[in-house]
Amino acid sequence: MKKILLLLSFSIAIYGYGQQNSVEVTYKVDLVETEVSEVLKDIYKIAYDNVKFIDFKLLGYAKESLFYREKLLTNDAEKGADIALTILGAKGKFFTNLENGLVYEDLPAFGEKFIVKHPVITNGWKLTKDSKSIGKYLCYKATTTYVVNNSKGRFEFPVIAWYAPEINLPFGPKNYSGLPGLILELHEKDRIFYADKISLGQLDEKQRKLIAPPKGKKPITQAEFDAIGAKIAKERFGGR
Amino acid sequence: MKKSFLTLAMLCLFSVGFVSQVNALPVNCNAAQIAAYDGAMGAGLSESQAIDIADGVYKACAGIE
Repeated sequence: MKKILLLLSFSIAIYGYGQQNSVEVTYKVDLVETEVSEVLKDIYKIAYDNVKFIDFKLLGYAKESLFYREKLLTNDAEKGADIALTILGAKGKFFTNLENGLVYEDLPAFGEKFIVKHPVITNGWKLTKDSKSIGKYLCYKATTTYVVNNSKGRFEFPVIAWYAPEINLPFGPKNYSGLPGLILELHEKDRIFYADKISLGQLDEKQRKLIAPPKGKKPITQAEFDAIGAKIAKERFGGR
Repeated sequence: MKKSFLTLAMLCLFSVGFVSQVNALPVNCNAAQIAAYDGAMGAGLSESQAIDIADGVYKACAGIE
């Protein structure tokens, strides 16, 4: 009897670990309407109209994850989504490696491909005791700052993440990770990413193989990537 | 003579109007593109985002797919 109970407990523990070792999340996104200059109103309207058609996937396994957007069914839908993805800053795929503390963003830009590396935030999060329920999960609030440096200056935007400690996988949308739980909702500037569907412990071999670092180019920092953009902009639009 | 002169004058005016209309499109779209880039940068978007948006505005202006 004792042996049976021991075996049962062991099986439950293994099963539980398997459940927590991997996750597949479908995120949707809202783009909050904000005041933009007249010349941008039409292009932002395209983004507002099409953002609802975009789904993102997060596949997390052990110490690695991949965040990417799912392809849409029609070419017309893809065209509309493209500008939305630009505004969301989510055109690329984000591979997170918690062991080396880096996120690699596989990003198409300026007619070619770049791999931009970001640090896993970890120490940059401020954990709070604020909580709310998202679905069946109790989530806690953490904050950080999203910084953009461009030739107009430095911009800082607040980021709010609601993470669920019950899902002990420190992953989230884009390059946001390093919290003591899965991020189920993320507010970044005028964007809100929210988990629409969560599957624990269900990744198949094909999905696990997708979680791999991007290849083909030497990774560069955000600052180096921004410098390339600034040079191209200067050549095309003059010094501004 | 008068009739020929009038006809020639009308033709000249029409040509000037036509050429200026044809040339106006890229100039206006270029200006819109630069304004969009400036606007995107001022809104705190990155260089690559601003360039993509500017290109989107230009294509919409010029009727390019």
